[in-house]
Amino acid sequence: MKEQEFHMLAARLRAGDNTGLSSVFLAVKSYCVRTLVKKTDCSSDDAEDLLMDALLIFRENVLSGKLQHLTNLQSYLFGICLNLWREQNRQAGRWQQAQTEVERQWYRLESDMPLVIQQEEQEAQNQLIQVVQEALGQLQERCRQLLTYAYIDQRSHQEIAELMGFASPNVVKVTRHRCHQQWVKFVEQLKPTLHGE
Amino acid sequence: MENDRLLISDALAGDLDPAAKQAFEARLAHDPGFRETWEQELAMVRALRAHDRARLKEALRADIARQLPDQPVAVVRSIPLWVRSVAVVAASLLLVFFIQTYRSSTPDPQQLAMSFYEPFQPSLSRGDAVVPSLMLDYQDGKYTACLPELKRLVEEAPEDLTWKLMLATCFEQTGQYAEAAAVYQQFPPQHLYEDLVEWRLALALLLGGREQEAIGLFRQMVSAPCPLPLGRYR
Repeated sequence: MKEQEFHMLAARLRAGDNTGLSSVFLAVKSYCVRTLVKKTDCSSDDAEDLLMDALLIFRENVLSGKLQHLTNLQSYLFGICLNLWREQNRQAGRWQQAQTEVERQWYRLESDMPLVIQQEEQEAQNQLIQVVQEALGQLQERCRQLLTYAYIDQRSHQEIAELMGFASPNVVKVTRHRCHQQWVKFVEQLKPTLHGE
Repeated sequence: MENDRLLISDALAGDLDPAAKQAFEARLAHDPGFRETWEQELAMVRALRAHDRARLKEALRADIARQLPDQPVAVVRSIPLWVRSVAVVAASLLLVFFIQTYRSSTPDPQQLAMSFYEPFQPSLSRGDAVVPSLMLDYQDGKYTACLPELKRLVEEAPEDLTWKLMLATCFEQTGQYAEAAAVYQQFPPQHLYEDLVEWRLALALLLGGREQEAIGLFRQMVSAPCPLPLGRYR
């Protein structure tokens, strides 16, 4: 991807148009998926899943301003895919390194406990997602949009001001403070134990 | 508490300058209550992001599926090295087999020429009258014995095309293809046996191992508008 194409894609993403991501997926899929399968021996489904995650990370980096220039999107995405895969397979690697059945049994005993904790954490996370979403839904549309831009997309105050028609970045900041307090208040109402109150 | 929330909101939005960030981190290290609030609100934002990413991923998946309704992303899984090695060896063997088969099915040029070759058969009436013993030997296939007499006759009567054709045949039958070709090449440009001589010259060249010259001559014959059977030339 040429620098100019990257800037066009970034502009579309900043404008809230994510459709360019699917085009990028289709353009780099062949290389990324095949190379991932070859290098990591993961399944093609897993490789596609990693590529989608990588695209979303790419989007976040564009929106937050961390990524300003890019000449080779394919390599960039593949690098993210590989890092994600390494992260996911850190524990699986330990399993593969186990030389004997005894070692594998030990590993199984060790890994069972974190698995239970992970499941509990996942349930708690799902519950939290439900609560924060519901609380966000209780906010006015303008607040909801502002918090999304600020917290999820990590956009700058200047950009939010331009997108939402605020008079200045300072107004964005003040409004965000107000919206944040309302949001936390709604979350506390939905889940009183959240702040231990 | 309210000011803490505003500070946390700034941190969550990435809106702290380096000095403010340093102060924020110091506060986290020394104020457990503040840290707890921070961790809880950070978890809220993380939950928002996780939900948003899941939503975007679903939308992306659907968008891709719309663009490729009938084409699942197919990928050839990596093939173990030993399988690839065996495949390469098998492919090489197959290639060698096919080359050998092709070679054996391609006729040898000299065999091909011999399949078309026939000795020139002269009209006996005139020859019988002039040199009866020569004609008998020729009919009996005693070509070596015929050579000296035919050479003499060709020298004496170079315009006689029958002696030349018989001489060339004797050369061919004794394996002297270059000499036979030389005799054919001495024929005048236009004569009674023009087509026959061209054909026999090409065969003589082929039998003598001069394949490229023979091919050139065959091409010339095929492209020429002539009534002779083109199939055998081809």
